[in-house]
Amino acid sequence: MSTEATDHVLPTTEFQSEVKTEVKARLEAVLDPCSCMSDNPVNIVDLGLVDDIEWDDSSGTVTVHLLLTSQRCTYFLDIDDEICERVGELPDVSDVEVHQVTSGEIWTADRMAEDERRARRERFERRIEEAGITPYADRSE
Amino acid sequence: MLENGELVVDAVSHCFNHADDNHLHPHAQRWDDETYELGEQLMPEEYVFPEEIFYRNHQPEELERLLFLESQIDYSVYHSLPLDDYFKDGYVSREKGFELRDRNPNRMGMIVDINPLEDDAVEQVEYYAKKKDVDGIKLYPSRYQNGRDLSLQLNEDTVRPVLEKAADLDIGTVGIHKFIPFATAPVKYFRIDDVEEAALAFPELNFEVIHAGFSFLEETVFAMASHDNVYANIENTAHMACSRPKKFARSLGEMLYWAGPDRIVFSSGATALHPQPAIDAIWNFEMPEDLRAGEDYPEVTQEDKEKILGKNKLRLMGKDPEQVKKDIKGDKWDQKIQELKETGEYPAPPWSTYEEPTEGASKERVKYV
Repeated sequence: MSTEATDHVLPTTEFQSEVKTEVKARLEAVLDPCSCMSDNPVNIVDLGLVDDIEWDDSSGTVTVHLLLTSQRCTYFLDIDDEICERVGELPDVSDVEVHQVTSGEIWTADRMAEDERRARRERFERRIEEAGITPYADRSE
Repeated sequence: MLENGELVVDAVSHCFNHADDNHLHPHAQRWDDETYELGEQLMPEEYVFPEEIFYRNHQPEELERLLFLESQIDYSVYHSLPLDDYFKDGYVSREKGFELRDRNPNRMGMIVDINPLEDDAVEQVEYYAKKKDVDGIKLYPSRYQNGRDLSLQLNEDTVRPVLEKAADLDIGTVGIHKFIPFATAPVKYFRIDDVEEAALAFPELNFEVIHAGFSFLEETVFAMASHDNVYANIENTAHMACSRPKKFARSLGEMLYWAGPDRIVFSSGATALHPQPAIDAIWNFEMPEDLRAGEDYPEVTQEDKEKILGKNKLRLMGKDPEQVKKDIKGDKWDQKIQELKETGEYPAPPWSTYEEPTEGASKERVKYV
């Protein structure tokens, strides 16, 4: 059950399953490796990378589906390792699988959590303003 | 050439060597496979290479036919690549580029790769500028040597002498690979901060940041808006116009809004990608109404498209479009194009002009060779 009309997992997404809720919380501690090279690291839930969380209580298996920003992301294995480590620590979980979504769906900035997207834009506009840059579109008017 | 008679200029073409016997490092196969997958992801199905066409040592005469008969490109700038840590010939050899330019002096430019870690890197810049009249140099932000990923940012001491020599010799363009990380290199090497510093330090050089718009978009438009000598080279990003139009719209929209249409240059990325679907998609592109209204992105005019697809790169190279048109009129490619036009077969079908007839290949493949 989600409180938002999205088809992927966001910070505001709510689950009836306690395990899924705990998994989501663990995923919120996994930082996107690329963003760690900036001054403002973003976790994979805020970034909109988590497409779905599945929980099989009969086998204790959690499956996390990720839609990466690029199908060529060379850091998938790093993200995979960290998810397995963090989610695997949960007491009811015996196995963790991470799948990359390859359905052809494309990640765009629209998938980011709204707060994160707004904060990112504000940082960019602040930097632009501090540099005294006028947009070309305004200059040419 | 576009239907309205304006030139299509390709700011990056390569003649890749994907043959197994070119591999020097275990990661070489990964490079090959990721390059193939890139084409699968970015191009319409009918343009995706047959594997037997892709996994081989592409030849100069194949690239020139791909550019000039299978697409509307009139002029292309070959970039050799310095990946000799992974591939015996660097992946895209210098020799093939010079051969192509020698065969097509009015249609091909040359940007030569330089490895700043080589002892004679500065001398190489001088040699290629003075003796080979190159249009620029190509750098990579990272090298893999002796089991380690090494940083080669434009603001580092190792690279600075190369840029100083390029500036002294008025070499024009410095092409720098960015935005698409490769192999095991840390992603920080693919950010654009160092380009800003270099652009400020060397105002006489123009910096073409390759794959602009693919990632780090806000950083890119900030650099473009801050420095008049930073150009967005949209190799690979251009093909998002046909496969990821929304993402392309956002990349192009940000660039146009903040920096305008004069410093965006189209690249085909051939032979890794087929040029024509990107040319078609850009020429037919319209900024979605929701992005115009919601983000203030400007309408993309025909004049903007002509600049992106050709005029900007010619201006950057100091070439007069009308002179280029005169130079290529009636040459061997123009004659073949006219023949194809007469039968309604221009541009020729994808990969139809490649040398080797292969199983499953269309009859047309043999026809144009």
